[in-house]
Amino acid sequence: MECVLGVVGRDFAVVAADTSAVQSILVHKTDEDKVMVLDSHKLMGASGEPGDRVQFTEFIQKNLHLYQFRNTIPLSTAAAANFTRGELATALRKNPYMVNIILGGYDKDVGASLYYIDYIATLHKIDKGAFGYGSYFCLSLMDKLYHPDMTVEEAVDLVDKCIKEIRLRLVVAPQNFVIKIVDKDGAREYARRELVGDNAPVDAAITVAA
Amino acid sequence: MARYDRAITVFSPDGHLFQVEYALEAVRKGNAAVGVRGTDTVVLGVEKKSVRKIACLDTHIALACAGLKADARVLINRARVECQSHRLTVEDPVTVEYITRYIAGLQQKYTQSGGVRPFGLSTLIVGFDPYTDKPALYQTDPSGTFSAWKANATGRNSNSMREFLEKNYKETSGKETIKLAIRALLEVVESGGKNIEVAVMTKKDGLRELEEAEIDEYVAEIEAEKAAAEAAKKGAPKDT
Repeated sequence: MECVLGVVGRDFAVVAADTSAVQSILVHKTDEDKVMVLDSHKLMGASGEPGDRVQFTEFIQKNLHLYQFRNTIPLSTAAAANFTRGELATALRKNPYMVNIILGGYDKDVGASLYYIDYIATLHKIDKGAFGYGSYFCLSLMDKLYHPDMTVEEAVDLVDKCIKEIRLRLVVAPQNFVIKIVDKDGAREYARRELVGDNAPVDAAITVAA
Repeated sequence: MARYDRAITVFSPDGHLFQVEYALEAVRKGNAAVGVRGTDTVVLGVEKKSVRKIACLDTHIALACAGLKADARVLINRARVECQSHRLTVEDPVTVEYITRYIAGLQQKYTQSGGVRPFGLSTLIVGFDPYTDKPALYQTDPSGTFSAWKANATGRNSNSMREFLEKNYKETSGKETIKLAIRALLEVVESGGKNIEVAVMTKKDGLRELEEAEIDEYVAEIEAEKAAAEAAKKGAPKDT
């Protein structure tokens, strides 16, 4: 089951997601990037129906770019979150998008912010959040270990603990994850955590078994 | 319901589309605009009035126009949407030729539709081809024709600017391209950074609007070169 999670730290936000693409009993690929860079300072981690996920996130991204070309300034994170929610809400009672989103962004005047947007167009501004079966474990860990104004190292450590728990306790657990960060310098990939696939460390299997 | 669908742009007995020709008159009265293509740079220059005339269509495409600015807003908006729509459907940025063809196609449609008049503007479109990395300059006009150019001008006194470019154009790069564009504009506009707007597009940095101070620097350089050339001309006969 797909997991997306996010955490706000001191002047940055982290959005992480698993990188598995699964269809019934088959794993299509283990390096599917589900955290889209919407623009220079926004990240959108999405999980749900694969077709809807790609279609919807690309649609939001292109509309954000169009806004920027029309108005020379980018949309704020809050405005982007509300725009996203609005699109989900409009489609909801006609042709719903089955996509859950954690949107993280950095604005010069507001700092870092994180938004929880679920597939029926619920919008919450949050400090920490997660989607999927993994959220059952992540949210408890975050409740215990999160505190405001964490450093990047502390936040990534919290995300790593969540990943470890997901790998351990979920019956069909995704093994590989991507961690992206957004701060005043922009949105970018921070790290990958890979146990399987071509880029996994050679002795990864041995470590897990032990 | 009143009928708003009769054709307005119709042929005259001698084969003219007067509405299109009148639209070209509107262009001729508009602010001067010039575009120059170099080997690694494309430059757009416009005579500055109150309204910003150089618009960014995408990260690698820019447009300047002469004529009815209100009509320009409509075309520019449609072009921006098309740039993003193209990226969304085929996951690739537009080529300069594609978006030029699109804008020209739109201008043509309005010469052959009921109840509408042609757009009263000509555009200069610059950009870099995302696949070949080559710079490009195109021009469209109210009739909907378009073509590629090494350098061109439109708007007020465009004939003088074009004459200058025909005499003085050569393959340039970087700062020389910018200077050539500014020199062409200075033929018809009062000199000074506050009277012209210049935008430079490079592959690496995209579109960059030059600051007034930068333009003044170029103008000063150009005037100095002109003075030196004059002095050399005057000096040479005396030596013999």
